Amino acid sequence: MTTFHLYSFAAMLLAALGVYGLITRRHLLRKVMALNIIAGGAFLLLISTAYRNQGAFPDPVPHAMVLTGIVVAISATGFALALIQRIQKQLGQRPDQEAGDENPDQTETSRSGP
Amino acid sequence: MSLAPIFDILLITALLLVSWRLLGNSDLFQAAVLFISFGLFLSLAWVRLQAPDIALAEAAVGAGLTGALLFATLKIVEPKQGRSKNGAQPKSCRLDRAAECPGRMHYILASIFVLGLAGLLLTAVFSLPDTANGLAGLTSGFLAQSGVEHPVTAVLLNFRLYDTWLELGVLLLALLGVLGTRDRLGPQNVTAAQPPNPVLSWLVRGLAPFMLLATVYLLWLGDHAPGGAFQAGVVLAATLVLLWLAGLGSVVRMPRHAWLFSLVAGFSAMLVLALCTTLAPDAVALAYPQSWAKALILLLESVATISIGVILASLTVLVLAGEGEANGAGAAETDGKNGM
Repeated sequence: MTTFHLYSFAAMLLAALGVYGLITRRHLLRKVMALNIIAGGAFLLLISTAYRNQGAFPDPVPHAMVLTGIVVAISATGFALALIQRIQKQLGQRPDQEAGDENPDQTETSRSGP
Repeated sequence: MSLAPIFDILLITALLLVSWRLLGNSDLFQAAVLFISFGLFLSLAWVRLQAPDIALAEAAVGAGLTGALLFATLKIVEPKQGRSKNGAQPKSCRLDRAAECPGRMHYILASIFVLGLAGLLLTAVFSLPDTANGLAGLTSGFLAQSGVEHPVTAVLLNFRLYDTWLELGVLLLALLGVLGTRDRLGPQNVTAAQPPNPVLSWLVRGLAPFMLLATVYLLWLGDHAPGGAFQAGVVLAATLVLLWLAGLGSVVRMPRHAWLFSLVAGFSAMLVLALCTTLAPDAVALAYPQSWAKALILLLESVATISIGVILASLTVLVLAGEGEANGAGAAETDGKNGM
């Protein structure tokens, strides 16, 4: 188990966790965070392969790709958040569209019994 | 030496735990805080994997700008969430409340899909040959001809200038998208979210020159050490956002033509270069002569820094400012109406 294997394994788990979150979470903000976790996993995989291919210095091409990717990820996140704000303004409700879930405390306490 | 694996395992555990908690936790505010710490742990991982360029950018972008964007959106989208002390938990989607939540089948199918994906990724990673040189040898071989001494800068601005060019295009597109969701065009009329705090504006007034100095330093450093246009651009963006938060002049007070010019400067500089290199006799697109390399790289990097900084700052300011003054009242009003 080298450092490369350790980090690429972690990258794989991060990407899988992100995809799972993206599918199962309903709140759009959470989906954006899940997308960013997938991106983190992909970046980690690239950089761990660069670390493996080490000569005098780590392979600079994946580094350059990830650097580009980080800036693209932040701009995509900004766009997604602006869209979420717009959706919220347009629909006038929370972006997970849980219209029936307005009083969560009540429903939770009323359902706590068997 | 023997401590390195322990550090690796601790760091990986922290990364996985934080991402698990931030996806599973029902409180969105906590999730946003966890997201910032996720960015910080990631930048630690970049340092560990000898990628200081990325660590610099990640610390500023992943932890700084993304965190600010998330908090601002959270405040607009869930106005109640930040205020409640013990956090009413409307997002808990338990399996026993299947009528209101995605069904059990949803989770099972998602798990099967994700496990399959993880298995595929695992086979791909572990079937890679143990030793490979990638492009490191090739890059170091041509480094002397690239005009700079730092391999990552050489890749970004010489060998793969194409990527950097299109990346500036993606930034522009994202800003256009954000502007498209707004009624007004451009950050000009955006006012500060809160009345300027005298302590903050005094502090920012003192800090801003040093942050600009750091921008120029990072830009120059890219020639021979970790640094360059991306990191410098992100620091410039952070400076501009701070100036806006402190109620001082920033992208919102830029004259419109100057603002537009800075937005497209980076992209169009590389477009002009691409045109010139294509039209020149027996030349390849974006392949410039070696004797000009150093000066051209420095010029392109400076222009790209300004573009990245202004685009990211405008994007952040627009998202932080939200949909304008009508939003706060409108959100509260519709929240009440919606309890059907």
